[in-house]
This record gives sequence, structure tokens and C-alpha cells, in this order.
Amino acid sequence: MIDIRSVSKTFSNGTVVLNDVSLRIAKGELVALLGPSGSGKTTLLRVVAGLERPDQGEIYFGDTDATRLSARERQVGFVFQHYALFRHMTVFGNIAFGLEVRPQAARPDKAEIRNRVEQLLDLVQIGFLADRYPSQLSGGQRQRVALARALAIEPQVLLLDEPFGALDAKVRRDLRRWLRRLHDTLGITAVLVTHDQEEAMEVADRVVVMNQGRIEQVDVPDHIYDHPSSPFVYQFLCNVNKLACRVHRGQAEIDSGLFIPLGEEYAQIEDTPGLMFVRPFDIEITSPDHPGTFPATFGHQAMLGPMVRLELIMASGQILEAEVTRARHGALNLRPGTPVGVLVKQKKLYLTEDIPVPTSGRVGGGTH
Amino acid sequence: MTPPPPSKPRWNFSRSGTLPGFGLTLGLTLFYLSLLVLMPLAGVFFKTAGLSGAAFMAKAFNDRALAAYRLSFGSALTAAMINMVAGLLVAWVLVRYRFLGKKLLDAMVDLPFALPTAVAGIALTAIYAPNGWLGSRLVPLGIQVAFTPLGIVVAMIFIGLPLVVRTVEPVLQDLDTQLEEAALTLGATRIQVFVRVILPILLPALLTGFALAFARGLGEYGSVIFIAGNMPSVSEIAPLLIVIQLEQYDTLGATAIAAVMLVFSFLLLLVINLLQVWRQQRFHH
Amino acid sequence: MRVPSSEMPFLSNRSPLLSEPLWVRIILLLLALLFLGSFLLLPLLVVFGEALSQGVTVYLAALTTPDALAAIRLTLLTAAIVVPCNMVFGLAAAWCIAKFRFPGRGLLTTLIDLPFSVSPVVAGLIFMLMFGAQGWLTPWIQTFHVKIVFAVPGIVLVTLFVTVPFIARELIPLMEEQGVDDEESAIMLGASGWQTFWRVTLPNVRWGLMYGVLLCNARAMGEFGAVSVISGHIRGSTNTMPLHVEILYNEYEFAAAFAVASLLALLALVTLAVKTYLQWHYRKQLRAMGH
Repeated sequence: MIDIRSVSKTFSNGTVVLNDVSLRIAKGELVALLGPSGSGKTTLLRVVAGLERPDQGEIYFGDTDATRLSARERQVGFVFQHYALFRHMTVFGNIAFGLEVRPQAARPDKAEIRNRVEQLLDLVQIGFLADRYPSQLSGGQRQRVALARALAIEPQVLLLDEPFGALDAKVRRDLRRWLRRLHDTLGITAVLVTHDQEEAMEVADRVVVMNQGRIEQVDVPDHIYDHPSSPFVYQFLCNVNKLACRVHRGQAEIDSGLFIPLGEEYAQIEDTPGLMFVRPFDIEITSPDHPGTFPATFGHQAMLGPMVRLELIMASGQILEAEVTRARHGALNLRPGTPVGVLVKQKKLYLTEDIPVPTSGRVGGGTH
Repeated sequence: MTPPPPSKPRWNFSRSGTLPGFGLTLGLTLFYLSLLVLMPLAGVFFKTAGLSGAAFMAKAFNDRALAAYRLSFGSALTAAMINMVAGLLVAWVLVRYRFLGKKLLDAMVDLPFALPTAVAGIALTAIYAPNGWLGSRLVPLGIQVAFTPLGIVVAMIFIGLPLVVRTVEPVLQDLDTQLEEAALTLGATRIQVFVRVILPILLPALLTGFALAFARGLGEYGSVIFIAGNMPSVSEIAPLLIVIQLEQYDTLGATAIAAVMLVFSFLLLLVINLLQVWRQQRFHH
Repeated sequence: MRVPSSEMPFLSNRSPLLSEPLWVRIILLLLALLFLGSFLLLPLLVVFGEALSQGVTVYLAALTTPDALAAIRLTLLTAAIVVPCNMVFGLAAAWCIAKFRFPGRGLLTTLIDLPFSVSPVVAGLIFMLMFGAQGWLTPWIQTFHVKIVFAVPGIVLVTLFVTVPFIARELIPLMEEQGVDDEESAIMLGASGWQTFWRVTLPNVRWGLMYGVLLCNARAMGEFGAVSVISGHIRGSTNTMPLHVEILYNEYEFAAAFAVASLLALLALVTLAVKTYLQWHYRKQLRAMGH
């Protein structure tokens, strides 16, 4: 449905925002563009919408080359982070806008417009707000209006730029699920920009992780979580312990004199610097004398709902974060200063020489 | 120019708790205002109250006075309307375009605030007089500006322009570009975006600027009298009539006309304040 | 949230998508330049052109006649009295309106703006009514042997009236925006009210204050209508510079009239220059404060 072919864009201040980005989005798919601010995700969305012109590359909608089409001609629904509702129009007026500005020949008559707007109001469940002005609505209601307004023009593609970014956590979670259900009902091709990995994982069919103007990885949520393709994706997807280490003959030295055994493939490598990633819940805490563990001291703890985050201090003073269930935490009976044994259940190692160095010049200066 | 007023007054914390000086400053403010503004203004109404209804009508609404009101209102209204369009144009160019000398142009917009009105008056007359810089070229075309009501409009355009520009400019500056983008993605043409999105948002500011320019034109004296010609009932504005009555020692006549003018000033002030309230209520989240 | 764009089109500071077509931009810009040129720039040029039309000698002679010098002195004297008075008033009014909440606050703000919407001629008239031949305060004021109408005190009074709002209305929104946090911290730290005002409030609003003083001064020196009504046009004694311009003009001494006018125009140019400088400074300060 949407075919992005080698799109590049550089801002006038020299910032490379998009660096040879290609992506195909299937009809009816909901794709999330995920990345930190300045990664180029919003610009990519705006390029697809026709709100920015790429320096290079093409955008195809189906078989049509849309690169030269204006935003007006592309018939995309665009939902802005801060809603961009017309303050001087009622909710009804906002939603009807896209139909009322059509050229005479294509414009539905008044009754038809009323009908369509009412359907959309029902769809986004805010029929009772039709005569209100945007300033009288809550954030979540405004975002629903923005969505209904974008859908009113029956777009081929729905583009959402951080649609829930300005909402508080609870409303955000509700709207997110609602959007997923809405998408399933409508079956519209949709692209969602977000910097919230949880949001991307929960809503999207596929997640596109972006960094510094490039696509790092495109995959379905489960797979991207289990098999991050780069250290960047690993760190971005969730909170992770990052340990600088030295790899030597099948072992990684993560602290002076502290070795962790590695797989076969590292047996031949000698004295090479590397980076080890360990997710907090892949760390098991045992008694200090347990075999296969290394020693650390318990520092302090933070309750995170069902989980407890523990701070473990290694001999060198380096800190590891571990997450355990409340039950396990109760069983451990830790006090600050308690010596513990640390067992790393799962880890991911990258040799420094294998980590790609970004080639683009200056990157950053995003839109948020 | 002026630092932008806060978008929302922060009512939610008490301001009178710890700070001293409220009584002193409020007292001083009220004393100063009463002595200098309220008491003198009240004098006008006391003086006119001394007149009988018929006498007041004769003084305030005789033919000459009516002609003067008509002229003042008509010219001020025309000038304010021209300024509304021209002011929007200038504000648009200053906010959205980039060109050499923009800063200079921006500073120049305030010239009518800074240039004494008498100076503006004689300069405009020198330009538009039949032997003047522009006048000598316009008169052969049949356009007589100086010493006609047209000249009055020109002078009122001069003094009212910055009021419109400076009222519209900040609103245009703060206009979220995403609103225009949203309208474009919804299929609006550039003209539709301007008419249906930008103009309605600017409307309160435009109307406020219009009202300010109108009020200013109505009361203007210095820049107008040189160019007006001052023919009774033809090119004699209301403020000039007040001066003439005073010079003829007809204090009551002058006061009656002043009372009428003041009532209109107050009405306009009320309108401007209501516009402000409307803006606050409907256009701020 | 303006996205820096790779291609800002000619003459425009927005993305090509949000810019009008080039020909529209050119036409709008030319129209604006034409309008401003003919309505603002041309009068300014004419003042200097006419002033120097009879040569520098005539120009300087016009400025150094005793009447002209007296007018200049009176104008400076008036401004020297009016500006400080309105400065004290402006600070007091802004302090109570911006830092406190009380009923009638909005009304008070409107009252301060009132002189803006009163015709200058009416402003002159109201003081005539108070202190003129049959004025209701005249008998009382005569017991002090002070002459107000057709004298300097009258000129000062009407100028005070027309310039009342200038400083206050610059300070009120500024102080309002700055809130009371700084002042409250100073008080908590043990500063007295005066110390707080001098060391915290005043430095915070100094650019706005200077801006207001500048505008107030320009108006005080340039006021014509109100002063014209009350001064009596007595040469060498109650003639301010704008009135002197009028007299010379009405006597067909155009070059001399424009010569004095050119001094006032110069004042306007200096005002605009300082204003631009202050704005630039103010923006810099705002940016430094992280706005």
C-alpha cells in the first residue's frame, strides 16, 4: 500500500533527518514508527503525508507515485500530537471541515455531511459533544475529535503523530486499546509514530525502530523483543544493564577478575573489548555461596507494582539493576548491605568492533 | 513590541499573602487617577447636566455639529476599514516573509506612535497639497486629497495603522502551523485555509485593531486639522468644532459636543473590552 | 514547534507547503512596501526635505530664534515633570494590580487605559472646565495665586492626563507574567518590602519600564491637541515645540515650521531606534531566562 523508497532528507541547518529510508507497508496494516526524539520518525511520517518534501527518494501509494503530490491531493488522514483542532469551530464543524472544503462537484450535500459526521461521532463515541468547542473538551476527547476529523475524508492511509503523547498515562492506555479495536473494525492502513515502546508493542502489527535517521529494525513485536538486531534496539526496547567487558577465550570479564562464560563462538577471540546487555529480569539473585554466581552487595530497592527493582553493587562499585517478583523479594529478605550471589540467566554480547558507528554527519535536533 | 500578555491569568495561587505595599500602592493609584482622570472627566457631565434637554440638543446636535460627527465618524470608519486590510497585509508580510530590511520596516510601523501628530499633519499636507509632492501628480488626475474629507481619511490611516498591525501581529505569530497543515491534509486549498481557518482565528484581533484605530481616528486632532481644510459642515471634524467653540468662548457648546464624543469613546472602550473577553474565552484552551 | 526546513523558499520563512505561490508573495510584499512607503516613510522624508529646502542657514536660524528656544525649553521641562510622575504612578499601579487580587481590579485597569480613548481636545477641555474662566475649581485655585490655564501648570496637567497609561500598561502585563515567586522568596529570605522592590522587582521589569518611559516621553514631548486647547499659544511663554510648529506653519513660514518639526521627527527616530534596541534586549533576556 505505502512504499517508501530510499527517502533522504537534510534540514537547512545540516541535520540529516532521514538517511536512505526504505519501508513497505501492506494494505490494512498498522505499523508503529518507534524511536527516540530526533530519530526522524516524525519527519518520515510528514514526508508520507506530503507535509515535507524529501530531498531524495520516492513515496508510492499503491502503484501511484505520490512523491510530487501535495498533501491536499494525497488523501491521507493526519492526526497531530497536539490535535490541531480548529478552535473557532465546534466539534461538528471540525469533523465536517474536510467534506465542506471539497470542490462543488465532489461535495456531499448538507444532509449527507450531517449524516456522515454523526456516524463518525458515534464511531469515536463522542456524539454528545457535537456542539462543544475544542476548548471545552478533555485531552482524550480532543484526540477522538482529531481522529474522527481525519477519518471523515475517507483517507487511504491514516497517519498518527504521537497521538497519545500529550495525554496522561491512564487515558493513554485506554485510547491505545480503543485505537487498536477501531483499526481492526475499519481495516485502514495506518502508521503511528511513538517514542513509547510499550505503546508500539501493544498496538502495532509491525514495529519499525528508527535511530538517527535510519531504520534499525523492522519486525513483529514478539520477534523484535526477543531478537533485537543491534545494541541500540536492545537498549531502546526496555531498561537494560549495559556492561563494558573484555572478551577473552570464551569468557567475558565484566569486572576486574569477574568472568562470565560465553558460548562456543567466542572461544577463539582474544582480548577484545565488548558490550554486554543483561535485562533486569534475566538476573537471578541467590545466596552468595550458590555455585555459578558472582558476588555483589544489595544496595536499595524500588517497588514497581508487581515487580521490585533491586540495586546490586558489584565489587568495583558498578551497579546492576535486577527485577524480581514481590514473592521472590519477600523470600530473599534483603537488607541494605546483604551479600548476594548474582546469576545471569540470559545475556547478549556485542563486540565493540561489530557495533555500527553512525555514518551520518550531524544527527539530532528533532521536532519535539 | 509589548511583552505578550499571559495567556491565562494564574488565579490559582493567592497573591496577597506575603507581599507588603498593597494599601500604599492602591491608595496612590486611586488618588492619582481620581485627581487626574476621573474628577476632570466627571466635570464634563456635571457641566452638561446643568443644561436643559432642549438647550443640550441645540448645542450638541445642531446642523454644524451633526455634520462634524458625520464627517468624523465616516472618515474614522473608512480609515479603520482600510487599516484593517492594510494592517493585516503588513502584519502578514512582517510575520511570514523574510526579506532585506525587514527589521527596519518593522521599526517603521511604530512611527505614527512616535511622531508628534502636528508634525505628521504638516508633512501629510505638504505631500498632498495641490503643489505638494504627491498632490501635484494627483490633482491632474482629478484626485484632490488635501483640504477635503479624503485628506482626513489619509491622516487617520497614518495614525491608526500601527494599532491594527500590532494587534494582529502577535496572533499571527502564535498561529500554530499545524492548523494549516491539518486543513491542507483535509483537502482544503490555500485560499480555503486562509478564509476558513486563518481569518476566523485572526478575526477578534482584527476587530480589536479596527476598534482601536476607529477610536483613535475619532478623537484625532493634530494630524487632521492641517490637511482637513476645516470648512464648516464640509471638512470640519468634531474635535476641531470643540476647539472653535472654545475660541469663541462658547464653553457650554464645546462641552456638549465633548460629552457626546466621550460617550462614544466609552462605548468603544466597552466594545474593545468585550472583544478582549471574547478572545480570551473562546480562543484559549 | 517549527520544523527547520531544508528548503525555505525565496522571500518566505515557512516551508514551501505553507507558503503562497511566489508571485503572490512578491505582490503582497510590494503592496505592503508601497503602502508603508507612501504613508509612513514619505511623510518622514518630507519633513527633512522641507526643513532643509531653504538651506542650512535658514534651518539653523529657525531653530535658534528666542521663541524656538523657549518652546524647546518648555517641551523639555514638561517631559521632565511628566515622565517621573507617571513612572511612580505606573510602578505603584502595576504593583497593586499585578501582584494582588482584589475586586474591581479589571475596572481599575480599564480606568488606567481611559485617557487613551479620550480625544486630546476633550482632554484639554476638561481642564479648561476645572480651571478656566468659569471653572469650578478656579475660585479655590486663585487663593493660591497660581495660574493654570494658559500657563505652564496647565500644560503639565493635560500632558500628565494623556500620558497616564503609557508606563503602567507596559508594566502590568510584564509583572503579571513574572508572578510573585521572586518577591515571595525575597520576603522569606528576610528582605523588607522596599528591599524586595528595589532589588528584585525593579531589576526584573527594567526593560519594560524603560520601554514605557520611552513611549511616555515621546508622547509628552509631542502632544498637540490637549496642549493646544489649554496653552493659549503665548509665544515665548506657553508654546511647546508642536505648538510652535503650528504657529510658524499658519504664518506661512514653512521652512521654519519644518525645521522645528524636524527636531521632533528626530526625536521620533531616536525613540524608534531605542525601542528596537530595548526589544532586542528584552528578547535576549527572555531567552536567557529560558522562555
